[in-house]
Amino acid sequence: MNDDRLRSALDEFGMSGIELDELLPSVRALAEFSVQPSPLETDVLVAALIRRVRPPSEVRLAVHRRHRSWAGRLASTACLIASQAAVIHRGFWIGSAAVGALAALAVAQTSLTSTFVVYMAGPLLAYLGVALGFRAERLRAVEYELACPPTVRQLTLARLALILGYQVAVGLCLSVALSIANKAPLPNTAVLWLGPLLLGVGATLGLSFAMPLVRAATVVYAAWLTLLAVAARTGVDTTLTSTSTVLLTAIAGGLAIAVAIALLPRLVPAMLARAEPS
Amino acid sequence: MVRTDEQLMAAVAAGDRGCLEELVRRHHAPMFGFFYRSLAGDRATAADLVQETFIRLLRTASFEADRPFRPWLYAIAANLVRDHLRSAGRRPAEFGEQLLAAIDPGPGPEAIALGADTARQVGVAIASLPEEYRVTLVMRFGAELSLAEIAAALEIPIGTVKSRLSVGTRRLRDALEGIR
Repeated sequence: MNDDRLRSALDEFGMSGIELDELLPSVRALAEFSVQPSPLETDVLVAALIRRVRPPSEVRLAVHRRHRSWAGRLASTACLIASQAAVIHRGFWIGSAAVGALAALAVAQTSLTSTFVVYMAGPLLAYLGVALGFRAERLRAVEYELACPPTVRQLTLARLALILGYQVAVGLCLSVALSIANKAPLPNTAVLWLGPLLLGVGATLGLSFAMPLVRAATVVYAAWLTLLAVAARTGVDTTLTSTSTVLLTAIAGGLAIAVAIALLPRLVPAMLARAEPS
Repeated sequence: MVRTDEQLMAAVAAGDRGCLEELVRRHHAPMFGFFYRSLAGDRATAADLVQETFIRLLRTASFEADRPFRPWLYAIAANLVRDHLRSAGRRPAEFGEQLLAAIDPGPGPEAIALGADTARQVGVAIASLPEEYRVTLVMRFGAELSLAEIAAALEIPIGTVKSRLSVGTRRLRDALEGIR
């Protein structure tokens, strides 16, 4: 700090004239009373602190990079709103619309005044919002995300477990119903359904490294339908649906899922960068 | 484009080690100067407290990364100075320290008063100031924080900052004149 800046700093809190001149040497002495750390000391400090930083999460870094631009922040906000909309119970939307419609009907068809109806409907909408809108609270989604900053692999495994688990459960119910109706053994029916499912999931995950997930799923499903059509036309459909082929399909699908999960952490930064708004 | 401290801190909170290095290199010397002055020239403790400041900063990074950076950093630093001065004031001098004081070949208070080097005189004058004046003066004239930044760091009104600076500069002048 040079003398001019010291003077202006003293002036900031009302020092002026002779008193300022008297105080200037003291504050100058204070400003000059210092030592610089050596470059080595700085290097040692940096090394000591860097050891204390958590290994960077690629997801967090990608989110941070995305937040640098206003377009990225806007896109993130839109994503956040969409995700929050997804966790809100649909009863909230339907119920709110129904309350609105009934209120309008009540105003149109009865002798009730609109003020009275609004007084009735407003708190009812608030009740619906609280009762049905905060499904995420019951799901503990926020608490989970705060308490357990997930890695890419954790997220993938969690979502796969959720989606595959649900699909397997649905498939098993279907298989039980089909096996009873067709009087066929349950394992044969179940594996017939499970094999293509695993292959489809594995292939979709693999393709999603190169293209958006929805497009990957579409391509895989279209390819599967084409394969079935070709097999039917060429008469090899019985081979395609034989137990050994279906088992091989299931194994191939399981392997594809495992490879995709192993590769995911390394590929995710590029995928996220591709998803960033231009 | 040079990134602001707040942008770097947000990146550090996300785990970016490169940004931590940039932040530390940017603030190491000013922080070191702050502690060196506040502790009246105790270089070793200054180095320890600089490290402790950054460690505490990292601990709270994920919760407060969007705070204005300099007031946040110096709030931590001021708390450390306060804790250190209070613990030093409470701690009785150990036997080794008493012995060293007895045989210390360096200049004693009288020698300092009679005209040892200027830096030592300033150190003695700073040490004579109460902690709240000392920290406020060092923040303004050493670290060059604005009045608003000091107010935010110490969580006091700007009027109190001005009053501490006004009283503190006079006390510093009196202390220096008394030594010389």
